[in-house]
Amino acid sequence: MIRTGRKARVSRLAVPLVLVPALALLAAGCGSDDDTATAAPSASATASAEPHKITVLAAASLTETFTTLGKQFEAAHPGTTVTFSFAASSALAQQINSGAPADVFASASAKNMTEVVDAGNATGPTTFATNSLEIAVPADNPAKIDEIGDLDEAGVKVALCEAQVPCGVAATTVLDKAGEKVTPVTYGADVKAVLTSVSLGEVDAGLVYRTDVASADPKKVIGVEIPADVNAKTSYPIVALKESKDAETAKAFVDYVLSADGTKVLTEAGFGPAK
Amino acid sequence: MTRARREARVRAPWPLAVPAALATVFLLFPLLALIIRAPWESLPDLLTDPSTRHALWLSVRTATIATAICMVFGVPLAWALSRASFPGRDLIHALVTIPLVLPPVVGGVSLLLVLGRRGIVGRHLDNWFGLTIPFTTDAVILAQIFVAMPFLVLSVEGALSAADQRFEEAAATLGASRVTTFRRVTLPMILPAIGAGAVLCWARALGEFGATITFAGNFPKTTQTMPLAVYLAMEVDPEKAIALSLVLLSVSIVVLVALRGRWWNSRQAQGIV
Amino acid sequence: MIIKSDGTGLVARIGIELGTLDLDAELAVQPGRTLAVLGPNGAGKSTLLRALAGLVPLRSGQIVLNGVVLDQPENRHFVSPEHRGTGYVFQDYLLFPHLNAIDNVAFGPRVRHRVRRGAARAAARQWLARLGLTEVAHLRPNALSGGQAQRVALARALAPDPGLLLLDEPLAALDAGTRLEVRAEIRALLPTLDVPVVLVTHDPVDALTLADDVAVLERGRVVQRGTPVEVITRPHTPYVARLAGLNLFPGTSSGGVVTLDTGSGGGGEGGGSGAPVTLLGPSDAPAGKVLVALRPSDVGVHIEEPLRAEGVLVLTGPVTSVEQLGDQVRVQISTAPVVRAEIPARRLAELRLVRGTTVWLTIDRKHVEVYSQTKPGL
Repeated sequence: MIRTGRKARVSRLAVPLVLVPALALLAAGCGSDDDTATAAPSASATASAEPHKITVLAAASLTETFTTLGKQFEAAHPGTTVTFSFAASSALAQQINSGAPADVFASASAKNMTEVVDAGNATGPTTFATNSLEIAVPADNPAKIDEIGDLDEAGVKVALCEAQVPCGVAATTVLDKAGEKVTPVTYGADVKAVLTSVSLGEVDAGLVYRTDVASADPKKVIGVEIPADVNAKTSYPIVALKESKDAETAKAFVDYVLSADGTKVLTEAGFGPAK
Repeated sequence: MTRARREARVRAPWPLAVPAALATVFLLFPLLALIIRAPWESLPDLLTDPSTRHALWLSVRTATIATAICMVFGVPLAWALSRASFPGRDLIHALVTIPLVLPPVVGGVSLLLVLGRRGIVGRHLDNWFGLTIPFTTDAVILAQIFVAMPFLVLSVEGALSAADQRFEEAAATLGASRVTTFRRVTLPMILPAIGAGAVLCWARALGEFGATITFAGNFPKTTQTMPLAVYLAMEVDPEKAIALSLVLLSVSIVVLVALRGRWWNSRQAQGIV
Repeated sequence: MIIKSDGTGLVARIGIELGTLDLDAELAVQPGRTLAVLGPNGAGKSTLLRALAGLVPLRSGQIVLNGVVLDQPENRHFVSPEHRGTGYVFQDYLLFPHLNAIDNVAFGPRVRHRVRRGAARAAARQWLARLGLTEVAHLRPNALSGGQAQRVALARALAPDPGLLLLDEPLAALDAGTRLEVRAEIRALLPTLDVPVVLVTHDPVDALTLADDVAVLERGRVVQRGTPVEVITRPHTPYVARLAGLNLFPGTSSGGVVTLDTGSGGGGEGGGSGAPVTLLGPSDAPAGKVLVALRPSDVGVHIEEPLRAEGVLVLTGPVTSVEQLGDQVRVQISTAPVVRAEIPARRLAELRLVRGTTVWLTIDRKHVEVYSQTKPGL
């Protein structure tokens, strides 16, 4: 194209203007096509199955396991689609109590679950797993962290979860028990933010859940054990929410998480047993 | 003639008036909601809370420093883009506006890749000087500069392009070097635009969230700016989040209104309008 | 680097190609003298001034001021505008809007001579006083009247003691009354300056009243030079003739008889062809290619064929236009060549001329100016 004044200019601008959203739509469209493509055959296989859709709000530390569980659940219940929203449990509890439409809540702490129950949005949560903390360090361990006692050494950059989110509460407990006074360089908004800081090597260590270390790329993040006597055990409760539009499927999903199949996936990911 | 025109301007035809009114409502209603739902009784306690004070002070301080740095580097950049000729000028012109449309989180990621401890440049800063940028107040400022500079550059560059370059020629015939001309003629003439750009830049820096939390992290007093405090407070204490939002809103309004009035007058005084 | 050359004042040959403009003009102005460059819009007048100021580089030629070479493309020598020391009064003044009158005038001394603010202001104050602007010294440009702004612009250009003064249509932006006033002031001022002055204008009155010399620029070329009186009485091109309000006929002179070129010559309006038109020139008429200039008011207009007389040319043709100019009426007659005549309004009533009326014109040899087409000084 030759630059000849305004006209050429407009069209130069117009091409990307039209193209960019088009590409974005195309990309998004492809993604949803894939989803329906996988869902469609199973739906036709059992013609009687009605389409079910549920939304599960789950703690950030459940990202990998619940994604797996969701796929398995969808396979076991043809025509059902499970959508996840992963974030800090405290944020999710807040969203539920603000009226966010959702069917299941899986929390990383009893406290946030209690908030939801107290607000009258659910009854009778069940603990489905436990977790404990581990020190995540970059694979080359630049600050040579071998034990929890190394965290308070000068110059060691530590990332913790925000004090308000469950992993932050757990981290405070662990550090108190170990008698460590650690001043972090940053408070992650959720546990995945802390893990990301570690895997990018921006911090020397971060306190995250064992399961997060297990799910991380071992070439980037390795774990340093925290002894059981100073560790904090957190429990993961799950519940079907009152506002659910599809209580049956919601309950089915909760049951599935609590089932032997569900427990297997959780155990493989490093979660501890519920009791 | 003039009168007829004025009257015509007052009455907008409804295909324009209705969407315009809806847009106005849409833009103002959320702000109104913030005021309606504000926890007025506990507001004094929430606002005098040290964590609020720290976040506000940090935000104001970093946004001001970021704006100052944007002016020091952005005004010359704007000048170069509108006056100088050098290879790739059009390309650079297009590139410097990218942060304007880039999601700030992406900006934060990019900054980490460059200035992070393992970043392209940050690695050497760490090795040679023991200097790490992420999770420091410097990182907050850098993140703000990254997202806010284009506002200043575009505003100033627009004014430079619109300004009559023959004033600069007149200065040259009177014996002024290019630098003197810039300082004594060009700069004073585009001062209103620099002011406008600086305020936009400051407001954008004050509200910066995505790049900050990604690149600078979140720690009270050093990197937890107001928007981060709002976001985090929303998870545990929505009332506090509303209170903090209210503070940000009023700071923005006060600054915009106060400065807007001032340029208007100064522009009229100079006859530039 | 300073390249020296002989001579005083401004000596320049300006060659520039800019878009459709092909400018190639030679100028020479002695210190204390004013050259008016007169020409129609688009002739290249402003570009010529800009080149002298260094705002446009030459493509060819050179500019030498008092022996110092300012621009010489063949040696890749170019003195930038801020080092030329030229005073430039722009057509629309370009007073800095953010500075008041006194600071506008003080700007030059401050930046060119690095004079302190106080001293620069003192100098500025003197210039303002000289131009009768003391009372407006503290006003911003937008508060000045056109005439005041023009004088401030002049003071600003003169305050840094320029070695060359350039005036671009200095009176064009003024209303008629102010123009007279400012013209008188500039006229009084110019002889007191001991520098070459180049004035660019499309207004012949400016050129005639303000300049010592006139150069007529048309389509990038100087087509005529001379004193204002020479140019106005003996125009060499239809453009100048029109400015001077004269009929201009090219012709050939031989033995005191001038044969006018009919057809495509003269005013360019085309006349019809036919028998050669001859008239007896003045006794001192030069031989060869000549131009004949004639004031319209010296043309006699008759509705009946006049009696032939010695030394009087009689032409006939239809009236093509009648135009009132104050108490005079300008009549154009499609004779060969086309002639413009001017008659008093009273006479129009007697003659009752309308478009198409056939008239007879009488042209007396006493009234024609016959001069050679070779252009002196070109």
